[in-house]
Amino acid sequence: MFFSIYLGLKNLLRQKRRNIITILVIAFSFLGYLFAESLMNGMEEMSFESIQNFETGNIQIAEPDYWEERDELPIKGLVAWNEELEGIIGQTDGVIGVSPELKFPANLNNGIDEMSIIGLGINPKKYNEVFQTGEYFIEGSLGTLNDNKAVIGTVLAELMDLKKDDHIILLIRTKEDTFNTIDLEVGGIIRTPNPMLNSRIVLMPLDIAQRSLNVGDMVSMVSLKTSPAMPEKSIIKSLEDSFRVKKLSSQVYSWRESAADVITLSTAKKGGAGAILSVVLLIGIVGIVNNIILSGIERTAEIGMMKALGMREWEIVLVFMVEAAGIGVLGGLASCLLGYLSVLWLVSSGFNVANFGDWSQYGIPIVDRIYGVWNCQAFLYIFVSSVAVAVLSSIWPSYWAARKDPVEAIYRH
Amino acid sequence: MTLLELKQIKKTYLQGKMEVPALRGVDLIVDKGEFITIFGPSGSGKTTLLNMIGCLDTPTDGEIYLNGNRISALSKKELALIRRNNIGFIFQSHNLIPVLTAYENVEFALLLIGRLSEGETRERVFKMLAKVGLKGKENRKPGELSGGENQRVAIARALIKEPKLILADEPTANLDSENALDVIKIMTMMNMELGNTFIFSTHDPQIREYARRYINLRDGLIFSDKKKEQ
Amino acid sequence: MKFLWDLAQKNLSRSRARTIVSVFAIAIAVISVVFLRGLINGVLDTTFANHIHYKAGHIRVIDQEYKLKEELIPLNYTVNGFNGEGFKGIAEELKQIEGVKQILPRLRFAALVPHDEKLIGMQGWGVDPEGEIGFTGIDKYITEGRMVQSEKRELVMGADLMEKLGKQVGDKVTFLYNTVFDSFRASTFLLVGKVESNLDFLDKAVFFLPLEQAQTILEMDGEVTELLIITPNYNQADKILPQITELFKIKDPFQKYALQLWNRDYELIELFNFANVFYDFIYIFILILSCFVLINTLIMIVNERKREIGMMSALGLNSNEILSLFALEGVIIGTLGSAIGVVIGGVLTKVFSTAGLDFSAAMEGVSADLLFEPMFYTVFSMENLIFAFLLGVTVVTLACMIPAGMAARLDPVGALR
Repeated sequence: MFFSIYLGLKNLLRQKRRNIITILVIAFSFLGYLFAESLMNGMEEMSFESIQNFETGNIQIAEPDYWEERDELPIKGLVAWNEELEGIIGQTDGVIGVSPELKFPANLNNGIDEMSIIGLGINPKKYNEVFQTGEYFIEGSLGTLNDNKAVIGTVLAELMDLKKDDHIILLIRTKEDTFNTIDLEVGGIIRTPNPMLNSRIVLMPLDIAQRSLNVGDMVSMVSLKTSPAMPEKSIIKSLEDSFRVKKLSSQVYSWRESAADVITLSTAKKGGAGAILSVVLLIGIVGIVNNIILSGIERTAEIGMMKALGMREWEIVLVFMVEAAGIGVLGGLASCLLGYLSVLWLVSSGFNVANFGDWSQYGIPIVDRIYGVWNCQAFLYIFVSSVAVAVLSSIWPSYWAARKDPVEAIYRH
Repeated sequence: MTLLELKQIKKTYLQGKMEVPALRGVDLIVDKGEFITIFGPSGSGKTTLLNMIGCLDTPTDGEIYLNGNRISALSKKELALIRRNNIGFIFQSHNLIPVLTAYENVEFALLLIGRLSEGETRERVFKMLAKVGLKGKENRKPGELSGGENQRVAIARALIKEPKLILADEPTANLDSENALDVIKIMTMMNMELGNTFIFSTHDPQIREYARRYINLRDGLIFSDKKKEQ
Repeated sequence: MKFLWDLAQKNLSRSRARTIVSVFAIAIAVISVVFLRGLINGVLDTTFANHIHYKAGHIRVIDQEYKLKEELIPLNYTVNGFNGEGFKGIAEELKQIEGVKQILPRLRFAALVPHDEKLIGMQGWGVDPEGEIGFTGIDKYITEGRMVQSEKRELVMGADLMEKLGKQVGDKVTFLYNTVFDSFRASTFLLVGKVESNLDFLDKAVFFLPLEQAQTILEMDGEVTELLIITPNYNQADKILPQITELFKIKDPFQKYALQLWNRDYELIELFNFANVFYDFIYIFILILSCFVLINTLIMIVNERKREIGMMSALGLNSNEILSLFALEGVIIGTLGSAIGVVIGGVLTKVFSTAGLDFSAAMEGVSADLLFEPMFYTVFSMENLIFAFLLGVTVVTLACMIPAGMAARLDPVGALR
């Protein structure tokens, strides 16, 4: 048996060119997978980050009734934003930012056209602790968001022909279902990687929103930013415990629940990756089978000689399988190396898509570049499957080669 | 009448960085219809000389005239054309295309020239195979024929296009003595009957006896050149 | 050349196993290409069809300003004739142009329906019912009741929207809207049909009503928001665009109107065009990978037959003929593999063109604006099969040049030794 392994390894160096080509087939096909995987994960990651950094923070606190209907933006089931709640959150370890928000449906009127948008009352200072929007101002800044100032996105500004210092009117319905208006002045314009913020949201001071809607100190939700050093789950747990002790009805929700859309979309992407992987695996299998068959044909005489020397069939099978395993190992290493280089490029310089239209319109939060992400598991997975594919797919052709008739084999040469 | 003329042919091979002379200035004149053997120890330059004459290789120095045409300076394509039309080869073994039958192997040489109609080709190939004693074995593949029979197919293929010059490099080396004698006898017969010029190399003194001119090669030079007294 | 072809064919039978594996490798790649491309074409076809049916027509006539503010569906920028005589004037002129099959007017406006103390936002589409049935086949999606009839105070509504409002076919629906003069009004129509289209935005946010009724309630006689020009074949719509442009140059000197071809000026289409370039690279990548397998085989064949190559070159074959001989072997393998791949791929795309692949679970929650349908059907088309076959044969032929070139470059003297 040791002799078979030894011989198999020696044979690996015999047809160098052929083995290198087969290794390259495996390497390049798996590289395709690693590349696509990194790109898709990158897009997913960006979607997740966009949600956390611009929409939800890491954790949100809301009433369960409100949470159920949050897409409808009701002005019912609000949370009281008071010292008690602030105190509980403030005492929880791992929370590094707290932003109370009041979200409501409104119609934006610029004097000519009207458009339905989402009004978002915030406290600029607290908002800035949780969200990154502050870094994406084209004109003005979060600091200008006081009195009756509003901040809108570029897409909305363009659509409604608005510039800084223009006056806008928001038509709203108050808590009591009466119509009301909010007069605002555009104090800042933002262009963020988040399509929602760019096109449908009007930011305004929280107190103005509360006063206009007549909701007192109530807010729709409180968004929290948590320290990356602490696991989200434990923070959620300790908040839930505190709420229970204080008999508060509010609930704690992870950002993941808001990201359900993106998560289902990424399942679709995973399906795509699976399709690529199956094609890639098939080609790898054919490459290995071909390699073994070619070696088998070439070494017919040798197989006959080995049989004549008394080697058993399974020992000859082993010789070929060891060779295939060697190709699998080298192919796996090569694909990891090539994968490392291409993912490195994808992670550091990204993939320029600025010239291919504005993708953000389709809910993909990308401004101009897609970056890849590292996924060590994928590399491990690729290496293991490379070896596994090589070994498994070599079984049949190895038997095929080993069963060649020794007499005929010798005679023919 | 002169068929072939070699003037001061030299050939040097590069082995690594070493220059190894294979031929060191060979002068030779061959007339039409001659039956010549080239002999000499291993490494004396027999194969190299045959390759030069057969337009498979070009000399480092010197000139070759075939039928009065200077061929030592032709391009690879032109050389291939000369081989195709004027020269027949017989090698020691692995001489035939294994997937083709005896008939097809011989036909192949004619198809390359491509001048004959299908009927003419058929007739000529059958006739030639009969001449070399393979009547009835036309549809066998090389694997189904003996070594001697395979060499006969090779002779038939070399002769089928009626070349002026037939070169054979150790045509009997892989055969037993009986088959070897058969092969050389067929070659002699064809030479007599068709008048083609034969040049062959051999180690076998018994085979050598059938030649009418003996060229002894040593260290890349012609050591002796004798004609058989009639 | 004929004898080279015969010889190449015979050579392939030297080792059946080897030939079969190579054919198989190419076949797998071609199957993958046929299937992936069939699937992508399927997605594209339905997406394009929906885009054309419910947005762009083949060519669309809209007001220049409307183009910029379409998202707001404003009523101030309409198509109302070259001199304000009404959209029918333009429609008549357009119908004179050869290649124009149909003119479809649409008047889209924003509407609200009060329900449960809330106002549900939606779009009303004033349409020519006969025309819509002829062009989009909307009647096939009406699972209950019927399409509205011209001039009647009727509407049909998306199924999801009806459910949200708790309405049934036969109920009356009151909706609120702003007229073109910005006065806020309400109208009540009879709900005569339910649209179930699988298209999220149609099912969730749209109701159809007769064009004349829409014009009356909005106080917009003779006006529409867009005119869709329909030609016999959308792929050739660009051919008649110059004539229409010419007409508008004369009749519309101040360029009030914009002409939009279905595949230009729409970001969705640009996105797909970009994706298509990407996919083409993937197809070629897959084929190249499988060609490596073939190259391996051919290199072995060349090595195995070195002496034979030398002998043939002695027989007078020149290097081009030797190259052809080996390339032919590869090309036969490639052609055979491509043919098998196309047949199997064709069967697969045929099967899945009716069975369909269900992506609804994965697509749930994707923005409703996307003109996607959750069921993906592959498209079985000769074009796809021919494309895959030609791509397979081309890539294989190019790949074969590497080992065949090795054979042709062999030195005959060395090969014979």
